[in-house]
Amino acid sequence: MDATTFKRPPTEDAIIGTSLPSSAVVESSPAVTLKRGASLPDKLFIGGSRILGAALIALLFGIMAVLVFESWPSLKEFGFGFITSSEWDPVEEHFGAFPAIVGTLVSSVIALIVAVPVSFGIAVFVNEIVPPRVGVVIARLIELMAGIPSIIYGMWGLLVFAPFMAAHVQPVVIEAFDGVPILGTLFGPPPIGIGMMTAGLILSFMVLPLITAVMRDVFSAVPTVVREAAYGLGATRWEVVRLVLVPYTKVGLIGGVILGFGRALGETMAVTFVIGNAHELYASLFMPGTSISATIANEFSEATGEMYSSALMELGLILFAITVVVLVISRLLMGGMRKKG
Amino acid sequence: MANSSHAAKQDHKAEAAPHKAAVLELKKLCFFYGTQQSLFDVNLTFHRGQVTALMGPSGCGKSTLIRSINRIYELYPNQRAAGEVLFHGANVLEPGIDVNDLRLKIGMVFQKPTPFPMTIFENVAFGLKRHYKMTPAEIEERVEWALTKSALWSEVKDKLHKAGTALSGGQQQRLCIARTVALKPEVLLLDEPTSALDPLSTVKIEELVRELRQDFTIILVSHNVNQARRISDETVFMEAGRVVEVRKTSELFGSPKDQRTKIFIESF
Repeated sequence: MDATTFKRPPTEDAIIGTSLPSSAVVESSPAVTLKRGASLPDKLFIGGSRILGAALIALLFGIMAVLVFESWPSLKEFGFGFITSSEWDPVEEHFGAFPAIVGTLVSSVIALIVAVPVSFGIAVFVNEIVPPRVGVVIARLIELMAGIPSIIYGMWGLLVFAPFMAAHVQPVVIEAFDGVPILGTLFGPPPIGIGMMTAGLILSFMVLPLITAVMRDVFSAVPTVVREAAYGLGATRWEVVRLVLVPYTKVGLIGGVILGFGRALGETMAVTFVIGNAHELYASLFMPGTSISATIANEFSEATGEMYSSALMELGLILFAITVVVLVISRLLMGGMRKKG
Repeated sequence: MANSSHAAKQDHKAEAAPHKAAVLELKKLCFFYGTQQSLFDVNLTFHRGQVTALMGPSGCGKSTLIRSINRIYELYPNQRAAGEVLFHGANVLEPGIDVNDLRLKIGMVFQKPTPFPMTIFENVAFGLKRHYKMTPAEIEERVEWALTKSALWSEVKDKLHKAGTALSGGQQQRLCIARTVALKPEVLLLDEPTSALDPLSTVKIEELVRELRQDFTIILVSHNVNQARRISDETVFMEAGRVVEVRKTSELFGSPKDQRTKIFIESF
């Protein structure tokens, strides 16, 4: 969660500011007495929202505290090595999170590489090209995609998409890049269907509705006159999008992408189904891997012993930290741009 | 682009027409928002080297009228124009006309300043790079020319590479005029260009419009009677989607023929 999004209850000053300062009471007409301070319902409302706001912040820090507390044994035992080690051996009680961290980042980046251009295309098409009535229908259908539970994506991924990848996509890609440096390694054999690539693609389907919705929102926020002015200078639709809409909405677009990234980082169920759950790092994206959330989901029920469950807790803590860092970076980026723009 | 702009290109031969020639002619122009008609058989002629003011109460169709001339209304699916808008004799409302090319020749400035999120220089060069094969040096020259024409050059020449949005409202509007003027259109459509500006900026824009009159055919929408009187050569008074009176500005304000015109003028 991102602490900066919480609306703070109004400060003491603001509340006092709403009532009249004492000097405003007109002395010469004693018949009129102005009430001071906020009315009772308003006081209740302000107090109530203040409690709720504080509760959310308390909850956030509570989660963080519990995560740190629970993962303390692991933190103490492995130290910084937990992040850099690739060994994951529950029997020997030796744990390293490197493959899971990399898997989380790689699968999310794949998701973004696929989803961002597609979302952008859809948002432009729906908002700028088709008549609004048709656009709304398409937009609603894409929003429906966001409503599909992630377990369904996982099952579909495992039972339909992964076999399809293995049978029709991966052999072709492996063949095409065979012998090519870097790409030949990234898209190397075997074509087994489940793996990092498939997980990334499934993730891209899941973050696509979110990114599309944000992009549509920011496009709609561009004033009509600005759009008309660009068309009025003889600009084509593509030119209006590229030269006016995108620069105008840069900040919001990046916000949408980061929101999608945040979603992809934490997505659990679908990834668990298709990523392959191997605590190893392979150069090929077609090989199985794991992610932080997939590891936790898979192994939490069988985590016997203090160290094992503590290691999983620490994984959770790392995911929490990554998400916070991503959101903070996005805030800083967007803040900086807003000032410039 | 090449085949569809064919009709418009032909007209360019007619460009050498004598002074005060008719550049635009509206014949039986009707306009519809969905099923609601907002212009009724408008017939008007606009001449080169003149400022024609369209004046009338809100909702009389004056903005709609100029929006049909460059077909900007087409951005909205339920808006439709019928009749003829003849630009050097060719009907721009015909399907198959390249609207991008049309809008290069008939430029438009809007009610509110609309600088694009880029530098002042890039704002003015916006249309140039893509529509004309110009070298960077030519573009620079044209940008300076347009900014000078728009009475903005002296104020911005030292900050051409600063954001256009950082200018004041009046400067922004002159920037938008410069951006349109840079394309050297034949016709300038000005849709209440001063309605969002302070009085001082308004005066500057009005002076500018009078200057630009020599080079362009200008159609100015204004709901401010005094502005129409100050800067136009010819005034069109409209009411409820119909043209009530069209005359030389001095005559129309001196002795309005129609009672409705008279009431409108006197209400100011």
